[in-house]
Amino acid sequence: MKSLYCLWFGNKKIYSLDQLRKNFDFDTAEMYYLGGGLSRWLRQCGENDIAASVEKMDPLGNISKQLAEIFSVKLPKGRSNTPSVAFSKENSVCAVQNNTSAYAYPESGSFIFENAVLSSFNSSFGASNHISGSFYSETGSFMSNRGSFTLNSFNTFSSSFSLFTGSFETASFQSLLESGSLASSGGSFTSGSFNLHEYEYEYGTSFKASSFNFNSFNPECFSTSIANQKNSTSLSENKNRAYRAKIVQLSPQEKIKLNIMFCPLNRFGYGIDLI
Amino acid sequence: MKGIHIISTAPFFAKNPNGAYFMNKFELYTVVLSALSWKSLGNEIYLAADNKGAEYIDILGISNVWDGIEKVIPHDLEGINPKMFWAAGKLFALREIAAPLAMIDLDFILWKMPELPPDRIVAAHRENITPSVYPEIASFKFKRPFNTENMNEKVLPMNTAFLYLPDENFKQYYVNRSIAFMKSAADCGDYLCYMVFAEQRLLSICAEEKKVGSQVLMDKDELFFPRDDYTHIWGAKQVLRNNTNSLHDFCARARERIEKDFPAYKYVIGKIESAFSPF
Repeated sequence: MKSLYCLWFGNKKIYSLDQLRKNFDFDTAEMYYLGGGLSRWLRQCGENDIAASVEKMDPLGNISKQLAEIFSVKLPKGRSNTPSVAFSKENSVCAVQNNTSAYAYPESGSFIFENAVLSSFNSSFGASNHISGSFYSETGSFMSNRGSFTLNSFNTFSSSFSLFTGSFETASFQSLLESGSLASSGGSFTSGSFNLHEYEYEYGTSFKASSFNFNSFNPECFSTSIANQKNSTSLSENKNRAYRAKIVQLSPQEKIKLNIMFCPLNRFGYGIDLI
Repeated sequence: MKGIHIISTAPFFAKNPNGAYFMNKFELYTVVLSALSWKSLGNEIYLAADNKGAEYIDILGISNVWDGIEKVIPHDLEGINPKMFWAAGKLFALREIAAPLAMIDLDFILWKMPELPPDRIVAAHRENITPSVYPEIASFKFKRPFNTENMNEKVLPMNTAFLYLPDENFKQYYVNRSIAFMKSAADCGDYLCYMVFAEQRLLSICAEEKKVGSQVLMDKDELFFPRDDYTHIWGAKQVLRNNTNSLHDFCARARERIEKDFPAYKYVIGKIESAFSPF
């Protein structure tokens, strides 16, 4: 399944060893070496001997010097690319700690909240201070540029969901909602099971209590729409259009609400109701 | 269109050195639906994995869900820290499998075929540059020199839950640069910013630099509106891990969907269920 490719040095596409030598640029050559693409490209060009030399390079040595020797190009004075011992795990500093992030990284690798809103939310549920660090992106549930998630808004949502009993949510989702979803099941979002490998966990939809006017949003008007949405694959085109027309009329906040009514998990991902 | 799913077990074994690799039941149902739906849209789907990932799928007995399994991901990620760069396997898979291709995350399902132009990359959606996720590029620490000069910090990163790359030249440039970044980064224990930079922000920066056009499947400001085209389990995975009722409900819906829409693959349900049976 491999295919041919050129190297890209600046704006020039390189198709031969000759071209490479004429346009040699250490930053790019080192990038292709570390990325693994240099020796493959050389073999593709039929330059097997040079490819073998590249494959024998010492990645822990000065790769600038080694590349200069292999490709017979002049090494600029002071040019060196050698791994530094100055950045071992013990003495390096995370980028995030240098900026204005609301988080610190303890040795355990878990996040610690330093944000007042989140701490408040957290303490409302009696959870520990060691919490997942979730939902702090621009689309994050708790901290967002659309407003922070608050307990009031959560309660409002719980109320709204209860209106939909029997429509879409199953007993288990009701259970999730009634138990306060975010704090359910052993503290879910505040549990120690947060997987730091999950970048996705940082995301979710955002809410702002004042944004949602539940008096003006009549869930019953959309119960049919929800049922239709669930069976969207079997909807006729006309019905689909009618459904979409109704959706278009909603405000962004109402659309988000409706989406979560389709399936509470839509709050943490999207289109989950389609399964 | 050739689609690829990717399983790299290195992050799992970095956390569980003596454990036996496994995927959660909901993850298996999701990836099966992802593969079958993509195929039903007239496409091919391959699984790119390391040896242990391929072996796991083989033992489960669900290999036939894919059109083929390619063992192309190095188990050691060529020395890259699997805890810090938990998605590095995706970049290695992209390096090995020829364009044009569409990389589909295991938790991403396309129910409709998107437009895939021959000259533009297509990603799931843009992301805002939130400092806590995408800090200033100058703040990254390196253990070996890595050139970040002239990187345009203004271009918005692209979420790669879905990534279509039509051109091999650009694909190689992007993945080589990303892998070089991961190999050059200081081993500082940041489990988020470095990874998303390498995979998502660098993609946009490279595309802008090389004047490669790009588009997205979804408007980032409308992700959480009602939709009928794409599913991304995303952060709901943690809910499904932590809440048994939600897990059971989700899996029941996934089983129904497989039975209804992909009856030829009904056997997969038995395979997955038996893998989680205590007997």
